Parts: sequence; C-alpha cells; structure tokens
Amino acid sequence: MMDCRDIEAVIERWERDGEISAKELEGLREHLSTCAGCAAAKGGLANLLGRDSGADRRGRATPERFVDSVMAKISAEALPASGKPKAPIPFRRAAYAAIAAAAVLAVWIGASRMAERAPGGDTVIVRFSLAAPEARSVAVAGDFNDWDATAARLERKRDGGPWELELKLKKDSLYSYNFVIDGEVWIIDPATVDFVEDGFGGSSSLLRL
Amino acid sequence: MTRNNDPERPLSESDLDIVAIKRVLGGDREAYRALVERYGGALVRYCAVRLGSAEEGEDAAQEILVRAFKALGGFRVGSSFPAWLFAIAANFAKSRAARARKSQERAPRAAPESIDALESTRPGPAESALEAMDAERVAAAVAALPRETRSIVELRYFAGLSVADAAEALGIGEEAAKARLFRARKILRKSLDSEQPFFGPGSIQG
Repeated sequence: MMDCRDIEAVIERWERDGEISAKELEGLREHLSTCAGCAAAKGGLANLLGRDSGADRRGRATPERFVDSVMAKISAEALPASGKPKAPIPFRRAAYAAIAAAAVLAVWIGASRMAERAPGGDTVIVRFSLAAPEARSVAVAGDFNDWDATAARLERKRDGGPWELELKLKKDSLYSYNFVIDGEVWIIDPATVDFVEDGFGGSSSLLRL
Repeated sequence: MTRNNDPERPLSESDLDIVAIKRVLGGDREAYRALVERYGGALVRYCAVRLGSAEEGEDAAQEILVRAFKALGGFRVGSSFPAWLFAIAANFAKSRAARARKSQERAPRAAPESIDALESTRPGPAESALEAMDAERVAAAVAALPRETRSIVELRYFAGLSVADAAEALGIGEEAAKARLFRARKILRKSLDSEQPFFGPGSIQG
C-alpha cells in the first residue's frame, strides 16, 4: 500500500520521465481513495497521470454509432486514388495463361527476396530475385518508387540466371510491389505470402521490413 | 491476406493500418472501418478539447475522417497513420477555431462544457463528481499552457498518441517533443498540485 511519500515519489518520477506503470497508477488511485488530503491536493494530477499509463488509453473504444456514421458518409465519396498506375496488362489469370502459352515466359523456377538489416541506421537492404529465363527485362515497381516500372531494373549475371536487384528501403514499413516483365506484364512476386488487391483486377505483393 | 512474412513477429498496429490503407486504395471501401474504429474515439476526444464542446468535437472528427479518406492516396508509406491523421486534425481544428472566434465577436461565447461531458466516449461508470472536477482542473490547466506546449499535450494526453507520432504530427523531432512534454509536465504539476506553491506567469518568483 502506497503512503503519501510514495505518491510524491511517483509524481516526481513522472514529471522527470513522463512514465508511470499501470500498477503504480492503481496504487496511487487506491491511496487517493483513502486519503482525503492527497485526494484534494493530487486529484488533478492523478487524472493527468492516468493518461500517461498505457492502460488508461487502451479500451477507450470508438462508439459504433460514430463508426457507422463515418462509413455512411464515406459511401458517398469517390474512392481515393493510389499512386499505382493502371498497368497496361494487369495481372490476371487469363493474361498470365495467354502469355505462358505464347512461350514468352515459359518457365517460372521460383523467386525469392532477402532482407538484411544494414548495420545500424534505419534502412534495410532487400534483394529482389526472380527466375524468368525468357523475359527480356524485369523491373520492380512499388510504393517505394512511385510505381515507376522503369526505375528499378533487375539484372542477371549470366544468361538464363535469375534476375536480381538490391534496394535500400526504410525499415519498419510495409510496402507493396509488383515485378514488371518486359515493361508490360505486372505480376506478384511468386515467392510472396502476403498480397493485396490493387483495385485494377490484379494484386500486389506485400513486403514487411 | 495479411499473413505474416515472419512468424516470429506479429503484425503491429501500424502494419494493420497500412494493410487497411492498401485495401482501401485497392477498392475495398469497407477496410476503412478498421481505421475509424481504431482512431475515431481518440479523434473525437482531441477535437472536443480543441473546440470546446463534445458535439462540435464529434462533428469535426467525422469530417476529418472523411477528408482523410479522400486524401488517403497521398499517405506516404513509411510514415505513421495516426501522426498523419492528427496532423490533418490539428489543421482542421485550427481553422475551425479561427472561424468560431470570428463569429463569436458577434455572439457571446457559450460557457465551456465540463471535460467530463467532452469525454463522452469514456467507458465505465460516470466517474464521481470529484473525478469530474479533477478532469475540469486538468482541462483548465492545459488550456493555460503556452501554445507550443499545449499542442503536444493535447496530442499526447487527449488523443493518446505516442510521443513519436505526436512529434511527427507536429512536424518536430522526437527530442524536441520530449523536451516540450517535460516542460509541460513541470508547469502542469505546479498548477495542479495544490501542495506546491504555484508561480504562474507574471507572479514573483522565489
């Protein structure tokens, strides 16, 4: 059980660091409920301190009525436009099949990407890699380069080898991207596990760093 | 659809925000609901404090969320959604407060509602009269802060943003935000703690 001196110490530390644990807050409130002197003198501060303990912030739900009202207003609005351009041939199963049949890109051996933490700093080196032996060019376009299909071209070291490119990206972000083959076929990364609909009947891969 | 690349790392709230944004941009309007649910309550509280009335706060919060929806294509991946949203909110509240001041030059200002009424989304039993009084004292003390200090206090203590997000919303560095919050806590402690002698601006120190 906290006494008046403990309360003072908690407040002192809060002023210095802006931190108070949920347990300390509970102890403080308990003391205030039994000590009229402290309740009168520290009540306002206790209210403020409660806002600094994560516990108090959580669980303050948004009323459903409010959410419904916002959603109703939004239903009348046009959809916001993303930076992703409408690809000339968005990835669709049918398009994919047609291209495969035309033997433009006959073989998908697989693809991979690796993320390495750069020492220190807030960037990560990501290696994009795609095995597409028949492709004439491969690029990666995503929200990290404004969906520019010419900005980040993958290279291959030998004929028939995988296309590769390393990019430095900001970490703690979630990106979406596509591979662009021969400048016109937008595909998701075959190695991807996460993807989102892109709104043009296709999908984008998700990359979490 | 939102499976994890790295099973060791659960999806954080900010990852979920970005997945929701991408889904909205991909044509799934309904995905916006998750963002409204996550930040709507905090936005209402913030707007209520900035605008001085619960009703106006709710009204403003709705309008801000619609604006944010329309502007979602301009959200930069790598930044924080709450920071972006509350930056919109801060600008909105500023211009609306300015408009209100203009019209008040003609009409007398209505008495401000108690902070307890502003925080109508607070769950649990309507706190005791004593707690309502405490909340009012806090609101009065915050309102008396210098403007620069007050804006970060509103984002941190009323909207419940992290220090990093509050700093980003104000376009200042995290260290500067921490320094302002530290100053704010010192002032607020002095003005709220009845056992501490209060040296307000203009009073004689020492």
